[in-house]
Order: sequence, then C-alpha cells, then structure tokens
Amino acid sequence: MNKVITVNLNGRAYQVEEQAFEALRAYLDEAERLLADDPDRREILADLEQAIGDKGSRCLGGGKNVLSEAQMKRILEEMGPVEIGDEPAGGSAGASAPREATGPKRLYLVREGAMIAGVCNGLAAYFGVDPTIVRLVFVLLLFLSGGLVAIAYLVLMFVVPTATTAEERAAARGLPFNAQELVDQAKRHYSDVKESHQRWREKRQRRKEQAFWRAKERRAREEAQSRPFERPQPGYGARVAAGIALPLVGVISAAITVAGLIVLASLLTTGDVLGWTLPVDLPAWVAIAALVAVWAIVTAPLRAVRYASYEALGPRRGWFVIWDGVLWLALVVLAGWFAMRYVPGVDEFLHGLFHGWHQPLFVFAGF
Amino acid sequence: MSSGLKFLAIRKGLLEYLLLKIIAADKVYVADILARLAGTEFATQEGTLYPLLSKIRREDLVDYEWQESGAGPPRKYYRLTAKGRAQLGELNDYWRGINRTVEQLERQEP
Repeated sequence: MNKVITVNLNGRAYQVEEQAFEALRAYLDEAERLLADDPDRREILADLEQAIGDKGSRCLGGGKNVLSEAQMKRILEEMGPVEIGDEPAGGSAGASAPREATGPKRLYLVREGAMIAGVCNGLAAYFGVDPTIVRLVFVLLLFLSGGLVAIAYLVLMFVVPTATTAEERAAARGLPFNAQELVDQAKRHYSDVKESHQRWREKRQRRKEQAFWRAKERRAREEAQSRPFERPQPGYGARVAAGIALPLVGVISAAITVAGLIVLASLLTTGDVLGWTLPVDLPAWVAIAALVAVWAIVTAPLRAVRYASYEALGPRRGWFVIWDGVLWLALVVLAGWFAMRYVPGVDEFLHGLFHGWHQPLFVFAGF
Repeated sequence: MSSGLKFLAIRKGLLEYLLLKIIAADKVYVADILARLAGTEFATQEGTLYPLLSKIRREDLVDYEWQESGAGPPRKYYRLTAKGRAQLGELNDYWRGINRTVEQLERQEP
C-alpha cells in the first residue's frame, strides 16, 4: 500500500504515488533550474507539465487512476533531460533576433578584443558598428591630422572608464541588463568598495581626506538615488572626473616636486631660498625640515584628490596607479634633463653633488 | 566515445534545420514532430524539443496557435512565419552546398 498525492500539472489534477511525486518534483525542479535564464521559462515548464500529464493519461485507464513510481520514471525517461541551446545564457540569440528595448548607453573602454586600450572598441560598441571600421577611421584621421588624434586617443584612454563588469559591457552597447543581476552586482560592488574604503581609511588617518571622501560618498549616493539603474558607486561621472583629475594632479605634483628640489638645491649650495638669505644662526637642518613641512602641507590636498580618484576608479585601479606614477616620474626626469641643459649652474651643481659627495656639502648641512 | 560526441554535435546543430523542415511541410504539434523524428538519427525527447521550439519562436521563425483536440486539452500547432520560411530557404541552400563539397572531396580521393 502506498500513499497517494494529487498533483496539478498545467491545470489538471493527477493522482500519483508518493515516490512518483518525488521523482516528478526532482525533474521539474531541475528543469526550472536549467531554464532559469530562459525568458520563456514559464511557458516551457507549462508545456513540459502538459506533456507529462498527457503521457500519464495514456498510462491510466482500465480501472486504474493512480500513477505508480515505475510509470512515472518511464514517463520522465521518455521526456528526456531538459536541454537548453548552446547559446550563452543572456546572450542575444544571434543577429536575426530582434533587439530588445535599449538600456542606458554609455561610452566605455572595452578591453575584450582591444588593440591598445579599447578606445576604438568602446566607440564601436557605443555606435553599434564594427571595431575594424572605427580603427580604420582612426588611422585615417591620425594621418590627416598629423598625429593630433593620438592626443585625443590618450585623453579618452585616461578619461573614459573601462567596462569591467558584465553590466557595464552591456551598457557599452546600450543593451538592457537583467535586473536581478544588476542588484547582485551592485551589492557585491558596494561591499567591495566598502572594504577597500576601510583599507584606505586605516592607512590615511587625515581628517581632511576623510571629510573629502564622505562628501564624495554622499554625492555618489545621491546620484545613485536619482538614477536607480546605475550602480551605486563609483558612478560613471565620478570615474570620468577621476580620469581627468589624475593626470592633472600628476602634472601639478611633479611641478611641486621640481620646485621643491630647486629650493633644496639652492638651500644646500648658496644657503638662499628664492633670493632670501637664511639667518646665519639658523642651522641648515631646521631649514630643510621647514622645507619638507611646507612641501607636505602644499601637497596634502593633491594627495587627497589623488586618493579620492583612485577610490572612484573602483577595484580595478591598479593600471591607473601605475600610469599615474610613470607620468609623475617622467615629468620629474624631463624637468631635470631640461634644467641640466638650459639652466646655468644646475649642471655644475649636479656634478658637484656626485663628485664631492663627502665634501663641504655635508659640513655645511651641519652633519 | 569521442566520435559519438562528434556525431552528437552534428545532430544538435542540424536539429533546428530539421525542425523547420518538418514544420514547413505541415501544421504540426509536438507529438507529431516527435513521431516524425522517432526512429531516425534525430530521435528527440520533449525535454530537448520544448526549449528549442521556444527559442525559434522567440527568434520569430515559427508561430503557434491553440487548437481543440478531440481528446484532452487544446494543443499548440506550430507553423512557419515568413521569416522562418526565408531562413529555411537559406538553410536548404547551405545544406546543398555542404553536400556538394562533401561529394567533391569524395570524388577526389584515390
């Protein structure tokens, strides 16, 4: 004797044995799982239920009205496992499929299949044309403009954010993005940002910077609330701003570094600072300490902007940080080279620095 | 084993083509399609057929209408759309091209 369970298969009631019910439920659960990404999931499941019911009806009759476990297993075997097509989940069903409503469209660098930084690739995605066409146009313009377009390319490379998530890659093409994935991604990203935030916070205790971040956070949050389909933070606008700010900060801080070195050099050689002579009784190390302090104070806001920019670039900022450092170093070296060639006295000073390492320099410095 | 997998890949790729051919020939419902394929290399089960039908319907290649059946609930009868017919034409040409290539290669063999 077996317990009987009544099941509803696409609107019709069937009586099945308990074990038959278990098998049926396992099959339908698996089908539902496999079809999770299929837009017609409900309909296909209804069709499957209908087919199982039809097969069940054929097994019944002759005074029997309960499906046994063996019968159910045979039916499910006949049905076969649910197979979905080989097309990647969420991908478009080929060129013939009609394009669905467009999502938010944004210019991003697209690294997948990029030749350099993905600028042409991103533009191609944005305008919906083949990347090869954009590249050809780019090369053509490069020759016509005598290289000016290369500067535009560099600017875009720094300013335009890179599409790093599936959601952004979808936005780069203006395709709609599955809402649930969007929410998941936003949540994951938020915790990511929060974590990295904590790390930065531990490192940089400066109240000023914290205030800067808080304001930034607040702004990002407000932005996210006004446009619910963007991921909360860092926003697209913040990343563009960071892309613009970073090279600027790099140039300015390189200039300040060079100025600081010039002052230091003149302090060590002549004891003068910008034409102002140090008092005789003031030890040189005090002057150097004062110079370092002034330098730290002047560069503090620059550093705040730099870290806020890194923050806004999100978890994949590594590439930017390296470029930022390279830019700074290149500018300082360039300034040094320029000074050596064109500013009288610098050459001799540097030579004196290297040749007379243990000579009056340190005596003067008071060590 | 691996050759079996290769054949499976070929069968999978061709199933959609055969499906269009069957639906083009006659207005059919799922049991008809399964019956037509049963006993061939392309014997298919509901678990495969329903998702595939749903996919090509989404691609606007086929359409269906409900029809009352003498026994039991109404059934979905499938038929080709204009787009499906156009695609079938292309696939037919393509298939003939493949056959020609295979035959030519066979003839060139010593």
